[in-house]
Amino acid sequence: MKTLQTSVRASETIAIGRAFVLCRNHVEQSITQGSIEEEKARFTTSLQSSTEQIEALAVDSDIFAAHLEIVQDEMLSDAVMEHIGSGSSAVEACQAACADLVAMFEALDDEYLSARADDIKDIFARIEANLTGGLQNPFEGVKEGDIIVARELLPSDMALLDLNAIRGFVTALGSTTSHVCIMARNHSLAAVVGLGDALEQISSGDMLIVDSYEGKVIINPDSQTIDSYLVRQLSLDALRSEQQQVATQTVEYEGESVAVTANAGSVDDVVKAVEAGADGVGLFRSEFLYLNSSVEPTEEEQYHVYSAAAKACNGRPLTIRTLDIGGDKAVPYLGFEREENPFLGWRAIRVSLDMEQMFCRQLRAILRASAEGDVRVMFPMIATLEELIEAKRILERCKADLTAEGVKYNENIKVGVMIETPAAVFIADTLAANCDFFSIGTNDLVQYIMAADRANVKVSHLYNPYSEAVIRAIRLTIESAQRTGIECSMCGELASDSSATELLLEAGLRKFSVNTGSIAKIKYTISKL
Amino acid sequence: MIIEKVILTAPNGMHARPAGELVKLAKSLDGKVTLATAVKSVSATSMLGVLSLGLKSGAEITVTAEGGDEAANASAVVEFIANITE
Repeated sequence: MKTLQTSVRASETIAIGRAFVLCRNHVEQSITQGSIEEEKARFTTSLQSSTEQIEALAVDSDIFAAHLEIVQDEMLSDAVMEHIGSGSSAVEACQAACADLVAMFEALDDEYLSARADDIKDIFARIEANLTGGLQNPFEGVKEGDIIVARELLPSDMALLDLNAIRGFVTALGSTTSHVCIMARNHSLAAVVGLGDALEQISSGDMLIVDSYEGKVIINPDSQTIDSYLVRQLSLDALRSEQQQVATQTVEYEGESVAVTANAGSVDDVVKAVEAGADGVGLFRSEFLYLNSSVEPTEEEQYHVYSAAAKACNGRPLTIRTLDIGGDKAVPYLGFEREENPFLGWRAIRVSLDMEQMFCRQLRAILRASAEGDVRVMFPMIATLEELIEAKRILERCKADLTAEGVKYNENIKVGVMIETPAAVFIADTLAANCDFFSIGTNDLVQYIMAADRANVKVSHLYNPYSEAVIRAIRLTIESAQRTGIECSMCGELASDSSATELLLEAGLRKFSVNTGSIAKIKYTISKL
Repeated sequence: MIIEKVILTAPNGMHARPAGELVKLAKSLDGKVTLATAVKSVSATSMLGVLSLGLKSGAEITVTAEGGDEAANASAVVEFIANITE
């Protein structure tokens, strides 16, 4: 029995199963190198098959649509042909060209472009696989209940896996934001990533316990350990099913109903949240529309997304937060400049108010969707009353334009303010008099109140949502809302933390907006109080 | 062969969208066009190539047209680059 440990919490599941160690098919040694012309012809054929395979995958995937553009790029084939011309085999040439291109893109001082290096790796892996005897499914032989062990799992790999048959993943590379972790969370699979070279201690067929709560992999556990994990798994399952029963019910605290809504970042998230029992969506992040594209999304594109989200909510409230990005994200068409302090800089409502045309396109799309459900609009990063008044003035102008055009919308659309700056906390009473609801965004609020960056390990102990100052700010905000008679919600991670639930309810909070995975847990916690 | 120089004034440098449009334009031309910086030279019909130049605002680009209507090709590409504003 041996234990491998990482500090990454990739998902919240425990899996027990046999290891399936992924071997990339490196059988090229058995193929004799032909003449330069023959090697070139072999490369051309495999490039052709790769293009066709990607074409098929690109139909319903943005990732593969981007791959298609790259695989057809003359620079890629030129680079390989050049290496073949100087005497390399087709496979060697692909490896060399891949290394060159990856190094070239990784060296560029640009987040978006360096990320293309991963796409290039994935594409070359495919071309090489096609060169060495066709693209075999590297997961052939995976049995139901196996745990996939691989140095790295790329989107192409994931597309080949039956995620309902396996129990989890263990990888040497990767972080919580890796594709593999996102898939693991979405499919409730166990995952431990970022193990590094320690991964080599695992062999195919080994019995593994993958504990993603603690970022731990136990190889060939003794029967006692297996038993204790089986017990833990059973009690987790039992707790989960108990929570699940509460998830779709409405919960109460001291006779008042409490709404547990979800945070969502796409229409798909909304669908999942509603299935999981959410009483609506308390935070619909609109950033994905802007980040997934090299051009600003049109009013029409946004309207389709907001309208689909409203329909998915099926009568439950949908709170759309207007664009919340700043200089820490690369959005080509927004013209962000490098800032010394992006989190104290030009971001969120400050950007929207400066780019009124773009703001109008988003507000018009939200207003149009408000004809199709209980849609609300919320402004992020408000620090002054003037910002709120200006944002509302623009909203009113959009309403007037839509009326003039004869387009339907909800005239009484509710307007809310994210409370996430200390400034907003201090003027909460004034803001409350000028809006319909608050939502406390604890992630930024904690960082701004404590002046501590949680990613900086030297000060992350100060990033504490339970700090006296933060708790007082939350109380102050809720009291201001109560006095004015407006609704107050909380998004941000503190809302998903069940050990804070009672404290927040006592402070007067009656609406939570949590990660979809926490809906059952929070409703269960409230129902037990 | 015609060689012209142009300065990229686009505030965000050569990003994915203008690069894509530039590649499309270059592909439509009858004749070869290359873009070069002090460091390297790439074909204007390769998206990877154009992006890999890592062109920032203010970069000087040497446009070389070979074959076809060289003068027209060079000026079409130069004009396109000079007019990228996003």
